[in-house]
Amino acid sequence: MSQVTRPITSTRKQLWRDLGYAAVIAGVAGLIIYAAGRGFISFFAACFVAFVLAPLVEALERRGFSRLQSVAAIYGVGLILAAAAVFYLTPVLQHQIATLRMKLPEYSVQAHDRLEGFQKELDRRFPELKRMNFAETITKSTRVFVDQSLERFPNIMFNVLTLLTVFVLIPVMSWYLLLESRAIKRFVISLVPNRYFEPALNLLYRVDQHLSRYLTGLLIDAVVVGCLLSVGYSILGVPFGVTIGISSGFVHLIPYLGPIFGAVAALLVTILDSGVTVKLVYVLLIAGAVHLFDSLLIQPLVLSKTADLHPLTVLLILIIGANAFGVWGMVLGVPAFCVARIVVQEYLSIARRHLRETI
Amino acid sequence: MIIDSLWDNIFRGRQKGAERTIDLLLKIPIFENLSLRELRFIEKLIYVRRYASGEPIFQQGDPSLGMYVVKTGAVKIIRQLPGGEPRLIATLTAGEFFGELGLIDDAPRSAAAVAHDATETIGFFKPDLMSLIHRRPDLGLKILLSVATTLSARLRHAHEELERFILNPPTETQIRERIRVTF
Repeated sequence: MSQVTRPITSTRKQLWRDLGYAAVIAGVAGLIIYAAGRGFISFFAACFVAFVLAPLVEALERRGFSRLQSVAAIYGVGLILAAAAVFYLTPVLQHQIATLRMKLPEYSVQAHDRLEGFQKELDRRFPELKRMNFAETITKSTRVFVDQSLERFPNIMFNVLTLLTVFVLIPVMSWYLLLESRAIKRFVISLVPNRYFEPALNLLYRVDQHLSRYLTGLLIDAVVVGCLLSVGYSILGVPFGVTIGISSGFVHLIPYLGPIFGAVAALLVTILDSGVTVKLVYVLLIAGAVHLFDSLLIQPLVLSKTADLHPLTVLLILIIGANAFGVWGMVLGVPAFCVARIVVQEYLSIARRHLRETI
Repeated sequence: MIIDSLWDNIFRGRQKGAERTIDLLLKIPIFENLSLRELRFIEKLIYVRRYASGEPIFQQGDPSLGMYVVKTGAVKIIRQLPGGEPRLIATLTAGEFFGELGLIDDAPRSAAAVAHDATETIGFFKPDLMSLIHRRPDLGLKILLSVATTLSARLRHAHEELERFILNPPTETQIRERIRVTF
């Protein structure tokens, strides 16, 4: 058989040119996200919902339902559950928030008295600190902060724009994302030049699998932690137990913070309500038990295969995410890091191959 | 000069030759046992790509990701041994397929595939096969069984060749000639 010319290989120049294109595309995407500002949060939230629901949709497809039927069925059940949650939980939450606002002056006085006692003790031991009125400063700033938060909370929760976003915009966007996810993937792949087609397909598949598993695991974890803390604190008779539990569930979307937030909130409320009693030990025991249960059973089951990060790395990501993008940076930091890691792995494997070919 | 077929792939638009694609898939052993309905389902998982003449489809040593069917044009399969010059192993034309082992394992591609003319290929890849097995196990298993049947036929053929060689050992010259022709 005749000898043929060497297959066309990519050169270093071509690699740099493609890197330049990739940088321009990333820059334009970044600009669009920056220009869209907060509007993109709804889009990301819709992506989150779509990723979380995708395994359920596929499970129904396995049972012979079409994609449309599967998505419609899940939305139907979701609608019923959301309606039930709004019906049962909203009055409880509203009642607890209203009670907390009513009790706040009383708590404030109690806190002030305790702090004043602490201040007197401090003055006795360290007279040089006398002129710094800790009790007054802490009570004032705490009262202002809590009062403002409680005033803002119902406004944020129940204003028209939030309701519209949560109940209309995000469900509609995630509906289309779920229905058209394959068409979207195919469109994205069609934009990729032929020489990167296979790696891009592999990359998209790995990112898709990873995000879907991670976000579903994270949601299951948050729901379990929220439910356990709600039930535990309610049984213990901690005031606002349900509110603290649900809030802890939301906060648990940021790794490690759920049980810590729950414990601190429950301890504060218990101290203000009943003083320093043995109940505080039970509050700590519940928080510790939930944390242990979560770390030893839930997280290894739902998250171990997806994140695979050292706790120190996670903490570093949380600090950087919080500084750069606030709460969203903390929530999305870990999945964003994992996706970036996959992208870098794929890129390095392509680059190594190209360099090997050109040497 | 090779023109990047990026825009060609983007603005190809709705596939006019959808029926032709299904006809083509029916001729591939891996898909020949599927019903028309199942083939229409598979059609949503495949990728049609256009390559300019001389453009590589994949390089030797790339990780295997899946198989290709030549839709139009022709594809040259080229293999290079360490220290040797690249040699043409085969030229595949419309309806022929290559790279099906990539549906099963991750081993590196044993040869490069380069478009001979302006070529259109149909690609079917492992991530989509895995997703298919997850969502439609019946259809996924049918395809896996077909891949296994194809590989089994090849293994049987190799076994028969080996048996023939053992019964009738070739001379050194014949072996050298065979190696020269293959590589």
